[in-house]
Amino acid sequence: MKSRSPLKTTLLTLSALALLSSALALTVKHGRGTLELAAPVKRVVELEYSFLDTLLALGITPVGGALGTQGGDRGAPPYLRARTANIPATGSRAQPSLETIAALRPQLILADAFVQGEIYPQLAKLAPTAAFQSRRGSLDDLNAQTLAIGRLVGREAAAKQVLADQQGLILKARTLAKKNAPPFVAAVATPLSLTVHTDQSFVGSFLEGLGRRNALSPKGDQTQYELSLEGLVALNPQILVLFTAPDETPITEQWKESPLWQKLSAVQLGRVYVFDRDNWTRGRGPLALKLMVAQAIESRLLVAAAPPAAYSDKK
Amino acid sequence: MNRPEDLASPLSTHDLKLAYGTSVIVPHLNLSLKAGQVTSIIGPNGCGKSTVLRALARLRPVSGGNVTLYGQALHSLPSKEVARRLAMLPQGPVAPEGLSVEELVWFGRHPHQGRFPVRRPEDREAVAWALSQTGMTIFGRRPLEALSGGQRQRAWIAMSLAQQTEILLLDEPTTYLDLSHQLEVLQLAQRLNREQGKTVVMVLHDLNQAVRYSDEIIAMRDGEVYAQGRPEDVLTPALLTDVFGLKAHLLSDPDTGRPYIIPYALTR
Amino acid sequence: MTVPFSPRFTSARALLVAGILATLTMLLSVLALGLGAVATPAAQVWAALWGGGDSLTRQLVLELRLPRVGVSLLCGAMFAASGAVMQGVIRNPLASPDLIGVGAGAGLAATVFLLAWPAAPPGGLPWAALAGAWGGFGLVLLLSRDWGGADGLPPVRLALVGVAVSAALGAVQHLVLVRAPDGLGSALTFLTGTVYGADAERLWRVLPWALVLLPASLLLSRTLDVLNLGEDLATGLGTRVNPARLLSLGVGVALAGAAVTGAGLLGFVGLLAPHLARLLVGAKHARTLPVSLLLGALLVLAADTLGRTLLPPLEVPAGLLTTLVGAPYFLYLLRRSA
Repeated sequence: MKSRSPLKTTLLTLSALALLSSALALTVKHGRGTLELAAPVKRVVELEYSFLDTLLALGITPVGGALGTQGGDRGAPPYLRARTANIPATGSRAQPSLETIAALRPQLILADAFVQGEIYPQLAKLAPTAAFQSRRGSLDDLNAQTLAIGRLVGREAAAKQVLADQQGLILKARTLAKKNAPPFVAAVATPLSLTVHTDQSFVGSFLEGLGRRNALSPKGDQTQYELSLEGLVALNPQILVLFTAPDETPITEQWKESPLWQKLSAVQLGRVYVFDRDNWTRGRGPLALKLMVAQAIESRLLVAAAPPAAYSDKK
Repeated sequence: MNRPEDLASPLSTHDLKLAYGTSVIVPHLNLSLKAGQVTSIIGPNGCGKSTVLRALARLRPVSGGNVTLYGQALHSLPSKEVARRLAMLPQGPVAPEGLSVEELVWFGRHPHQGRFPVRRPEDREAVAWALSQTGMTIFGRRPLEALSGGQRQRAWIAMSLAQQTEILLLDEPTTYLDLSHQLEVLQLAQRLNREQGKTVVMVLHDLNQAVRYSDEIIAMRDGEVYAQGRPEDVLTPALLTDVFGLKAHLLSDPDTGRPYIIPYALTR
Repeated sequence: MTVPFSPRFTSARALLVAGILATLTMLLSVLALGLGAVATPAAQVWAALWGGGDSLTRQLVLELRLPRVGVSLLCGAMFAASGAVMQGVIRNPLASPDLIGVGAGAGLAATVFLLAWPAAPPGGLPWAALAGAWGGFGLVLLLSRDWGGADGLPPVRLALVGVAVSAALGAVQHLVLVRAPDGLGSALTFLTGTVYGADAERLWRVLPWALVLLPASLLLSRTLDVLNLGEDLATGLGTRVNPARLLSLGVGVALAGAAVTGAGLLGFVGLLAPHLARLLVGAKHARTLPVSLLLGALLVLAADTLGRTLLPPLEVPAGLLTTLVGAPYFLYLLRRSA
């Protein structure tokens, strides 16, 4: 055996140290760069509902969050409200209160790379900040974020378990799905507009994941776009999935007065399914997905059978 | 191209062409004003008299030819220097609200001041002199809105006087004034000429006033000078017919011996 | 009708008004340092200002509130100065930076930047807005200039072209907004104008502009006075009207552009402040401009402080409050001038 040169020894020591430190430090890539934490943290402020859902699913209660119901926000989605009553609100999602966040002394801020992109530098001054593509992310993106968040808060194993459970649930649901059922059109109906969600959107891709076919693909780079009643009639879907809010009167209620609406195949066949848009399009985390799978089965959307009263548009 | 007599003339024009876009108002004007006189430009509406006066004050661009100030091309002189030698009061000037007479008159010192508005003793003297000449000293601190039409016009003239120029151009200075205020303004113009030796050029509508208060009359028709000379020589029945399309009795003003015009019929 | 026989507006009066406004601004600045979504006792705030206090109070007061107060004051003053200059050049009390394409240009650039280029680096927004402000103004200038003719830059045409260009740019902006509904929140707060998120960096970015442009606008006051007499009188007094207008407009646009980078499109400050200033101290720019600056600074600081403390932790954009005050006043002006 040859004796090692001092240089070699140094190099070896250095690379060993590097390996050690990279194993110790948490490094997570996000939409605005790379975040490095020395150790997992517990005091987290979240600025988007999907992060709230993910943290709760991992057993972490955030120390503050964008849970306000003012400034264009509708607050936490209904399925999470019971668990968020005691979390301090940090203002709106578009303009979270930097003062309130600072006073909470967080160790980590979870932000949306798009909505809070412009104030990322300000947030990063208050605490280490990870900015993920949540609002514009697909199901795969959000699953990757669950894993990343799990690592940052020291719940990597739990995150893997959550994702595995979710995958199992989706596969099980898939077996229930009726093969060869006609494709669906899924849309969010607000009092002012109807916005269809294509196969590349979050809910659109989720329903495809359950084994149903989305009639629409993105128009250019738009994974969601607005449609008029005439546009809807032109598509004439046999299955229509609507996301509405119980406290609003969606535009489709007006459209029902029109003979055009009555001509829609989905209406004539009684295949209009209605879900709570706050639960389906705002949560976008593991808890929301569990609820969505359950409701997709319960509503008989998966088997393309007539919906029970709770999911019907006839109320 | 300068004519020798131009050196003695406060303002002359040489083949001056004035146009608005493609419509030519003044095709070809050669004119020479005399120093130390009150000159009035008369003519029917649209004959180009105000346009010519504005061109004499470099307020509008020329399409051809040029205007000279004692033989120097007006448009090649620095604007501030011109403003120290020639003051022009346009028709119906409007002041920002709330300005006092004295503040307005101070604007007349603008061409004499540098980048920073330092009020030198000579500036103060000029403002005081302009106010006293126009009889506006006691109104100095009043807002312009609080003045009568005649007083306001005198305030504007005071501003032009504060420029301390040798030449004073007034575009229809009596319009919108009642008769006594009209006389007030015309007498002021005449007095400035007699006492200060200023060259005064006015555009006037009232022929009898033009005759009475001017040493020289320029009658214009269709952008051209129809006649120029002493009032008693220029104001003839032929001119009234050709320029204004009027038939008139010409009497003799008992004060001045100059013609007094009483129109009685139109010729067209 | 009684007519005052002594001038309403004197230098003494202007000094008094400016003194009162400066004092009010100072008091409100101190107050604003103590107010926010998180309660900070006065003693702690005072200690923080002198380098003491606990670390949270220091962070709140020095890192979050102080830059916001500074940016509010500077941007308010710059919007007001810009408005005063524009109103002087265009000779219309309804003129404002928004009228000559500055607002619409900055708005469109900011919207495109935020929504059509989501991967853009943070901090780029103000530069996009600045470029947009100059772009909008350039377009208006290009279209309103009578290249062949002699009239140069007629204010009326400038105003009309400004309205048309603003409408066109606004339409494009709406198109972009409609195509990206999920980003409406942050784009809209920028378009309403807000001092939210102002930090020391933003203060340092705005400060040099303010230090150069605010004194420059004051130096313009005599030129603006002369321009205010109208083209004929201004020429008669020896001013080269078109270069003077262009210079003044340039300073006005630079002021508005710099202010937009600090506070977004703060509505109505550029219209309101010069107007109130004229009511208080008259039309002479040597008096109107300084009083405008102070009023603009005070207005924006008051709006932002109110916005931070009205419904904490919700941030009410300062622009929303200035618009709430400004829009009715604007309508009142329109009715009065009609």
